[in-house]
Amino acid sequence: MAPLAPKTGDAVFASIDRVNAELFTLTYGAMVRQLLTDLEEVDEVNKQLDQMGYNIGIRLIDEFLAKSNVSRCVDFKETADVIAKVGFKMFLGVAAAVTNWDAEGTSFSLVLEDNPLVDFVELPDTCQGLHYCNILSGVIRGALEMVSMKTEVTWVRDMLHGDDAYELRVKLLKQVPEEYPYKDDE
Amino acid sequence: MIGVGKIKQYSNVLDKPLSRGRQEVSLSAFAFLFSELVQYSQTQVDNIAELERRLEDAGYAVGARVLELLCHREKGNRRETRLLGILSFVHSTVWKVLFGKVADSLEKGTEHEDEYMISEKELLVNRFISIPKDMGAFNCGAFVAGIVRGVLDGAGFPAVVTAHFVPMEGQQRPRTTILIKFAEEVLRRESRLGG
Amino acid sequence: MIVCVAVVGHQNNPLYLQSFTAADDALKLHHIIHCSLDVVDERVNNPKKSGPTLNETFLGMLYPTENYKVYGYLTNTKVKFLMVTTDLEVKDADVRSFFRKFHAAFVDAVSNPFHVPGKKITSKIFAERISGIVKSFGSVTAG
Repeated sequence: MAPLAPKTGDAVFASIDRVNAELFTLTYGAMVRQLLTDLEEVDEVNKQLDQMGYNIGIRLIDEFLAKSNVSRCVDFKETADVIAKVGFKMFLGVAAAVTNWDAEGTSFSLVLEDNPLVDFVELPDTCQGLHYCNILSGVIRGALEMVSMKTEVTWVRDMLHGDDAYELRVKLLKQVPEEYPYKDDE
Repeated sequence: MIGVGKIKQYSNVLDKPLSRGRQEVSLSAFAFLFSELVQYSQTQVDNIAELERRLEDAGYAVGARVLELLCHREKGNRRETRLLGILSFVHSTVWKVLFGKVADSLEKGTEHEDEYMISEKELLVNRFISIPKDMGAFNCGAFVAGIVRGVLDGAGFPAVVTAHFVPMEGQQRPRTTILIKFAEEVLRRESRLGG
Repeated sequence: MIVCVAVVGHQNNPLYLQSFTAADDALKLHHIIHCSLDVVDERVNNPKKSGPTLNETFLGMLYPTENYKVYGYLTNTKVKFLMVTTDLEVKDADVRSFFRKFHAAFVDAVSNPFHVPGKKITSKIFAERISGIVKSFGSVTAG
């Protein structure tokens, strides 16, 4: 069967079931509040959000690959573009940009100006260390791990901290050669 | 409606467009998020009742805010002072905004004067979570029950709201019924207003 | 000129109060706000069932003194917005427009997951937006 052409982010977003963004935003907010009440420490909440994101990422990748018809990326650069243009669009309905590649091509920035997770949010003074959208870093890390890329994802800019955009730094730590964990060949 | 990325031209927060209906996100983004919320909540509780209570609390926070959003957005909105008015608002407007459709049905309870039911064949939050057998009657609809309670409370109609599975003849999956039991003060006021 | 705005919760609990004038007037303004709340309560609990005023959000002028006029707006969640102005010639349309923008800012502020319902609004963004809305009151609004 001839491979299907990869779809653009817009096309995928238009073809899938969608839900009111406010329901999503407010649910995320309620969840972050519950985490803060349960865990109290901002660092613990950051960790928990990352873990939740990771749990989502490892499952989300399948849906992503299936709906977008994206074939295996040739290199890390292509991966970055696909995450930004298709991934973010397809799930969050917003476009992200890829910038600031390092010389080796193993590290880039994902920049978001529009982010449905943070609508209406204003951090109180007591939570200034909170990475409110830390779930995103976990999602990216989890998803990439499932396609054999071990990465480190950190925040560079955060609008809730007064910056002008959301910027995530994605650094490739290890790329495991193509392995199909389900396939017992021999 | 296809989400269009907002172009950030506004350097001054005062120039930002005032709150209006945003756009949409993918259903699976919400499904993943909700599923994580449920998974996480399970680690914080000892039993099903507590789990439902946590989901309900989260829903309440959402409902209270949704009410404010909708009250502002609906042009020429009149303040609902009557029971049927607010129920209709929940069944139609709130449901339509949150779930993309009006609720399947709104019924008055036959056994108790203070009970009303909003039912949904396939409640959104129950669509993508399959409950393991050992969790018995646990209903993710508790989240939606919380949303409804938040809306009703904010509008001045305090109530106890719970979610239940109701098996339907000829249907494989039970429908979800949100049971609303209004506080006495609401019924008293209603009869004073001529209900 | 608007000298004071207030947001009051459904139990008449103060949620936000901001004066735009010299400090020594502040006490007087608070007194005016209190009296206005009484007027609002009177109108809200008015047993008249008929008439559109029972359910409308814009309450109109509540309380005229020799120097000030107080306007009120009641949201569907029984939150009250009050505006005190020294302008004696105030256009109804301007006030309505003022309250609509005020309401929008309020909705954004309470949609913040960190806002505790029933507690004071501490949002800096809200304060800035209100200042902006107050400053532009009465000027011709662009489309």
